[in-house]
Amino acid sequence: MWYWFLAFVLLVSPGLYAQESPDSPAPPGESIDSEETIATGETISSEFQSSDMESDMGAIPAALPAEEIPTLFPPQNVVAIDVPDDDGQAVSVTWTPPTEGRPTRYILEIAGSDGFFEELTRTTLTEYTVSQLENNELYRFRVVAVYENGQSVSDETPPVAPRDHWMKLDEIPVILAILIYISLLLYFIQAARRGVELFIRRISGLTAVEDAIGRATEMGKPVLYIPGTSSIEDVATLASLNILGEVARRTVHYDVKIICPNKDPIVYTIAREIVKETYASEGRPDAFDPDSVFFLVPDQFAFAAGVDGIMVREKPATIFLMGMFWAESLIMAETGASTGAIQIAGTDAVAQLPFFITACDYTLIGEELYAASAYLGREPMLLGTLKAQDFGKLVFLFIMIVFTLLSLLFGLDAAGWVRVR
Amino acid sequence: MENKTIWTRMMNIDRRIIYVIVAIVMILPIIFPFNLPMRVSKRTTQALFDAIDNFPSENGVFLISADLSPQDQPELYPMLVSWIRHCFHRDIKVLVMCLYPTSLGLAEQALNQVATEFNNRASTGIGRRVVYGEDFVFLGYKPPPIVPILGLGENIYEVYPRDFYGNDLRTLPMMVSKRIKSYRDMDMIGSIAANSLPITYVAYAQARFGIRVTGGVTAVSVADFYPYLDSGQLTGMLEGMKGAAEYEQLIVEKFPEDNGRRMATEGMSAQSSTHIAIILMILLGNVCYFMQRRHEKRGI
Amino acid sequence: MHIATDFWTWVAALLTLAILSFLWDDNSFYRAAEHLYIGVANGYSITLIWYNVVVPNMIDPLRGAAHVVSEQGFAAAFFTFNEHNVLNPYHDNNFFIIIPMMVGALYVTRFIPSISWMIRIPIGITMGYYTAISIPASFKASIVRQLEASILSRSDFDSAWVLVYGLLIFVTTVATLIYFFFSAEHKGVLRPISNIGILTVMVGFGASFGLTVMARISLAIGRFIFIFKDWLGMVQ
Repeated sequence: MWYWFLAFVLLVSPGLYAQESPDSPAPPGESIDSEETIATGETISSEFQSSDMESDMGAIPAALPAEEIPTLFPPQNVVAIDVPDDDGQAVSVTWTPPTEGRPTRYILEIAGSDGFFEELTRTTLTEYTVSQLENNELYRFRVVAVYENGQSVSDETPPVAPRDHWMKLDEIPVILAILIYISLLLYFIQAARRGVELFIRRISGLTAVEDAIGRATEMGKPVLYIPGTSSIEDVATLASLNILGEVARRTVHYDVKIICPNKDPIVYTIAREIVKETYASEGRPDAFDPDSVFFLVPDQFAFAAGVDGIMVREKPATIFLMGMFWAESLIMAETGASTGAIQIAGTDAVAQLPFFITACDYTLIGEELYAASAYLGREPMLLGTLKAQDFGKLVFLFIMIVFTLLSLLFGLDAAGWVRVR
Repeated sequence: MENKTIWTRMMNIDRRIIYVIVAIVMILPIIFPFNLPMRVSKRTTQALFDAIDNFPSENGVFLISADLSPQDQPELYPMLVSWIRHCFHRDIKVLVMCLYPTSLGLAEQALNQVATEFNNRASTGIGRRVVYGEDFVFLGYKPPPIVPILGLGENIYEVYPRDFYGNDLRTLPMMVSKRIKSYRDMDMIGSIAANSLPITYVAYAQARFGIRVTGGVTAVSVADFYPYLDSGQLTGMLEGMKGAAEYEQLIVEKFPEDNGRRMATEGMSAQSSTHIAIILMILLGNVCYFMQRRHEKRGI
Repeated sequence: MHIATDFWTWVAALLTLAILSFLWDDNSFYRAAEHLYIGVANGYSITLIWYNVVVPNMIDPLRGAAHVVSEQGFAAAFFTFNEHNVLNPYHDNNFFIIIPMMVGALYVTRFIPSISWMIRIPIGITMGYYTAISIPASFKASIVRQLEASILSRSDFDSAWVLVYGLLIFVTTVATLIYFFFSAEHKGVLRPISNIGILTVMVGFGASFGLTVMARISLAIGRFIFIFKDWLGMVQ
């Protein structure tokens, strides 16, 4: 585990586990007929009370003569450890089923500083994470196997204290992945800013953008731009807003009207600023129509119905459906197709792409949407981001292929090196 | 006009004829239903049913994020009802919250419907009564979604000091008896949504707090979730109306006394017959397309 | 046949028919229902947000804080802590709510041209917050865990089906990633691989299309069940 070296260096607070986890984790619970485990109609509170009494009195009914006492086996290997790399207050308890017999359920019991065991929970599984404990207080646990004809109590665990850890060490692969990606990002953005020629292959759907806006000019009809139906935190929305800037620039150039209805109030605000600034930067601030970018309605299908109405009434020559879409995609794309408009779609919503592919003239599939926004703009930030994504994919492919080879050829647990909980 | 072949005419068929055919094929089985055997999907429906049936703690806690709206009601509402029924049968405590305002009415309706079902049955001596505050709690709506999703990992009472009905959450018997404070005291989150919310729960609630997540999703978005199902990040899931019907079947098999309305099952005959009609139409459409092309080539 | 007698069932059924009439052609019934829907959706959202967001998160804390000030003095309303001694933003009575309130109010500056630049403050805060919160979450849930799941191991060879499934996922993942690699033309060895990639993508779309047809049918069935069972009572 290569990253453990780094983890070791970073480690400052050694976890004083009362008992280390055994080499092999506890096997999964025996399959217990869950029919038997259904509560028998007692109220919860009375169930708790009776079990408290039982467990405090001891497991096996003392009144039975010795020869009639059935041999009931207790749960084995009860292990309690502080949950590693968490923010404290939790202990994980695992055990293995009795060597013989099939308990209907287990009762997990806990003892704090007063030394008295009390019932914590009932379960049919062989593990439980206890929460809401006090940090640095010592707790002991034991497990009672409940049989139809009695109970059997396991040994107590040594005392264990939940602790507050300063970092989730098992998430180091995530931190490394983020660091690698951010390094790539900074490197390529700097390279793009320095003017280094960064190659990006041409995406066929993009050629259509210019033609489509040209067509709107010839027909004297507006361009309809839908920046998706998601919120601003969606990457597709951000890419769409970049493309909106480029589309708006061309509409200013050709003097074509642009209509941009929005579903999200924040996206609406930003879309409006983008279009307005584009008009200003192209030297035509007076041509910006404040009503061209507007907020329609926040409800998904109400938005689709509203957009459909605009399509049918305004009959735009070109329709852009760029960004994140859900079930409303086909409703809008089909209505658009029926009006005879040229439609250019782009989304990273896998489920919606088939509809765009069938109902639209050109479709930017998934990441092509991001690539399009970088290609159109040639803006260093976007170009650098796209290149960083490309190399991020290379790193992903490299790890996937090399780790698979290591795993298959040498029997190593390569997947475990990137495993996070 | 005489040049038009039957293939060309078929390719330009008025879409309204297709609507009428689909409507007939759909409506007849609703009025005259027929029963087809249903195979329960192991990886999705069965896995979820087993997971809820075997919560780590007996009488565990299931947090349902009910984010359905009237437009996806036929697919998602039966899922919500089935989950609540399953939990009540198993005496699992149910917490329901909504991340979108349009879900509030349906979520409340589902809870009341199932509670009434159980209490009516209990009055005839079958099963047990369920009580608000002891068996289920409706948390209501708190935006934006990220606030309750992350906040419940820390302390539920800071995000929802009061439930939907204005009761002090700390005083409700179920919250006290199960010592519910954060995700650590819950066994699973079930996200019912027509969008990618189950993945949001995986990314924020599971990645940060380690709780198991499952989803009840519309068939449209099912494909998005398979990678998360394969990697074990989602513990089973329900796929559209069929998934809901499968779950209804599992509940009736396990709890034969359950006599509640099975809304998803009601639609399955119509679903099957319409699928057959659509498959035939796709085949016919392709035959017409290729025949038309052949005729055009010959014509040249 | 037991036709529903509930007034609202009739309203719902007639509106359903009005919307479905669009399948025949655009008409005034459809347009009336469409406008009603948008209006109701907006009105419902505004009312809900007022009572579920503005009142409990803004008005109640301020009212409560004002009450605390009148009884216990000014400091008590500002410094309310939770059990971990952390300032509690969700506390019932809290004047700190004024700070986010003021930041949020900057959205309104859009209407005042001379200070409309201030709208960038709340937008910047929102974008910064969401970017920071989503990067680690996305990397963990959608990249690292998916990477782990796509690495093959010897145990995958135990069962023929698992192996076929694992290999299929492995090959198609590699091919699809190559298709979406934009830094090289798809020539030479990359061409056949990227072709497999786009083929995979299209197969995925086919499956997705089937699922969506299923979903749309479910929605239509839901409406027809409502019409024939709940409204007309033709189904028992």
